[in-house]
Amino acid sequence: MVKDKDWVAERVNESRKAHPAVTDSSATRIVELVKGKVMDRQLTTTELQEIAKTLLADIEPTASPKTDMTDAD
Amino acid sequence: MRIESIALAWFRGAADSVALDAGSKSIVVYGENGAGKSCFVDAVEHVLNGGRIGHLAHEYSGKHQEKAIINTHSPKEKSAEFRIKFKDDSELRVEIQRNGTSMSSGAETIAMNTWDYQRTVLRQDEIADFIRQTKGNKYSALLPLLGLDQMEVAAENLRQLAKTVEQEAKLTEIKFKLGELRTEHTSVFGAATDGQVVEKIENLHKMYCANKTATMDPLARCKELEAELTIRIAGFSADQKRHLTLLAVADLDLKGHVGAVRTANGNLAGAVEPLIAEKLEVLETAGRFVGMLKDEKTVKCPACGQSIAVEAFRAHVEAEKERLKTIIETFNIRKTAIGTLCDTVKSLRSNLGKPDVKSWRDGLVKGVFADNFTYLEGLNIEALRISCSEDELKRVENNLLPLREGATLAAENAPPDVQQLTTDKRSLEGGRAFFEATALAGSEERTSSLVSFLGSVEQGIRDEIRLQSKKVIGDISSDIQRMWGILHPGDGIEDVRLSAPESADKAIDIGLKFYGVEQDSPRLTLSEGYRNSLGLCIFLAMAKREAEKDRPLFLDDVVVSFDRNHRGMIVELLDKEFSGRQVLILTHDREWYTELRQQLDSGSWMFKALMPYEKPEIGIRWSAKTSGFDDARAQLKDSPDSAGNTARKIMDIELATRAERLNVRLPYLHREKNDHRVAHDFLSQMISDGEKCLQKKGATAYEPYAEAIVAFRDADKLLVSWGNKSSHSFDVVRNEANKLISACENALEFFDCPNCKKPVYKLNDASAELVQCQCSNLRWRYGKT
Repeated sequence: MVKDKDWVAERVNESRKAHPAVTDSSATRIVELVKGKVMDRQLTTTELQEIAKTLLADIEPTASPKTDMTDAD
Repeated sequence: MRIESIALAWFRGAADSVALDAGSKSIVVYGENGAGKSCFVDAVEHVLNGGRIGHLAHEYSGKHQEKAIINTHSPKEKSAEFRIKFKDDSELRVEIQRNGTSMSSGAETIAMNTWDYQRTVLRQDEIADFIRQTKGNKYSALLPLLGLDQMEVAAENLRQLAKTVEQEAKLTEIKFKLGELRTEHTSVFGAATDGQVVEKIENLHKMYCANKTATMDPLARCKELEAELTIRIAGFSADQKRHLTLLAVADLDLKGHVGAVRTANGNLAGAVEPLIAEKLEVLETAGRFVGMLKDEKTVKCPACGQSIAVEAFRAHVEAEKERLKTIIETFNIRKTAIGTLCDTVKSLRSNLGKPDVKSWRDGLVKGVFADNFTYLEGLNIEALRISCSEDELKRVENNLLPLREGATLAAENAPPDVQQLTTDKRSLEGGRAFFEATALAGSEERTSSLVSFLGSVEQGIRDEIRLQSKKVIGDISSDIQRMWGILHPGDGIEDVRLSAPESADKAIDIGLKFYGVEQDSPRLTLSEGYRNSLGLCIFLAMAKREAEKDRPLFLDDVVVSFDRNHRGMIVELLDKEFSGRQVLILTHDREWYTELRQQLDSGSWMFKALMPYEKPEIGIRWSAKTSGFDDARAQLKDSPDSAGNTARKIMDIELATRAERLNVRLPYLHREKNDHRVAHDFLSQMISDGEKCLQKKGATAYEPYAEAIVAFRDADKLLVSWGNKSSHSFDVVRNEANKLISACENALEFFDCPNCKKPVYKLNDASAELVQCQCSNLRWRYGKT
């Protein structure tokens, strides 16, 4: 009866369609997590904090802010 | 995996080793109350629940329940222990130290500690537990059966992860800061478009920083502009500086910030009141909850000091956090609003303290604003930051708003260049707030999207859980309905089922039709007996789901509240649904025990009776016989009447069931008398029929079993004389009662073959004219009557 882990990965990718702001690396990381320890056992607070920090680092933009201005001159 | 035996030593009521030898068969154990039958189930629960036994949970039972688990009279040199032997010859040994801690070894492949207690053992006081549980607890109890544990874990982890991301990114604070920046930007630029703001800052930069043309990010540009304005201000005259400072004071939105704190104070007060009420409820719930704990892994609750299960505690804390989320947000908003007000007051004091405005200030200090300045100078802003009550806000309004208004009035005649510079400075601040908000909005949007994404994945998994649980719940419901139908054929209660309410996740409920009317809960209409019957069906339906694991089932005194009619159907239920499983039934109901002995197949069932409990040093003992006459013998010493009466009752039941198997027909008696036959009625008919029907194999042919008839007559004679005296006139002496018991026991033994030891119940003739024992040495011929 347990859904296989690939199904959960598909579910993650499905959800991502509605969240275009989520980066590839974030989505990939969540898929890996869900197929791994996220499904196996209840995570500790420390583990959750570490994962959260990694996910937040993943979504940090690499480009400059879109409001950058270039002098007209 | 079937259980071969359970041996106890100094565990609970046991003294030196006593073993329940089931021989891997199903077994019915009879023992009157306190005989010790449940001690064998306790041993199983001790393993399944990690060293704890639910019904022993009590503040006086000791940290490891040692005061209840170890025989109170165990010799000091003896340790309590039990051994559970399995069909594959592996054996689990559990040794219990004096302090109640235990060590187990052996039978690793069985992994008995992974068996689920709720689907292995059903006790009398637990039978309706499932019905009484909350929807959430029902769901938790069923979850392992649904096979969705991993998905549930994943969903829960994702929920927690989304919350942790929010906390780590300080999303709440970012949102508040964003709100502040947007307010500041809007206060300067109103409804201006983003392009107009950018253009304004560009123009200011060109005007004040004409010599700087490098490409820069907008915030760096603002910084450069600010530095240039500072240089220009430094070159101002004293009069210009005074006006500039007064304009800065006039710009402070003191009134607005006081209003914001006041609103936040109101919101907080509104939130605190229900919180206190909820807290009280939480404490009450926690108290009730602690009382029901069974798990051995416990922690001390910081609120009440009681031990509660770690898992439950974790869930409790999570629920508390969730409950507090709103009030924490309200609290944070208030804290920030107070901070802004304090910063504004600080700015007011700093500006009005500047040498630039000394002449203006000196004029007012001695005049009508004397008290106001005294208040401003003496105000402890850090204290205001900690406690900002309504009284304090009123003092701020009364004392500081006039000073701001005075400064605004004095700044009206500021020179045009000062006014221009002040306006440009304001534009710069608004522009900088705009650019900071833009940068922050990106971060907020990305984090919010991540949180929403995690929530969406969680919801997707929960949808799937719901979909799959519905199917499993449907299957279990079918089993419950079928079992209910066996126990209650033709009753008005039907369509008993489990269901997952659409309105809630992680919830399961029980519904049924009561004489055609839909009921949301069995508690609305079912009697206690019916609820227990339903509890049994639910337990068995859940246990049935694990059929492939072939684990034994323990039913410990579960028929107490069943009437005879429904109790009788349990055999049919077990026969139809659990013929392949090992079932261990423990009962103190002698009548049911006798029925079971007659009805259940002796090839796959065993029957054992416990002797009445005498004292802890002697412990639990098995009776050599299965009929229960030891109950009567135990009463001989103190109450011969009771002993004789018990013997008579045993004979009433034993002979009634034998008469049925032997097809003995009694003469019809008028009305209800026909339904109230006693041992003498059966025995006299059996004597009459038995002279022709009961035969034993002789040297060449079957012969009448004369010894049996003599034994029947002896028993009947004593039953009529002393048995009735025991019941009615209470004047039987010990020797008489003892003789009666022996005569009754002796008579019953003649229904079993002296060679194969099996009863004469085996139907072995196609025309159904006779029944016989297994070796056909003994037979009862119906046709000879």
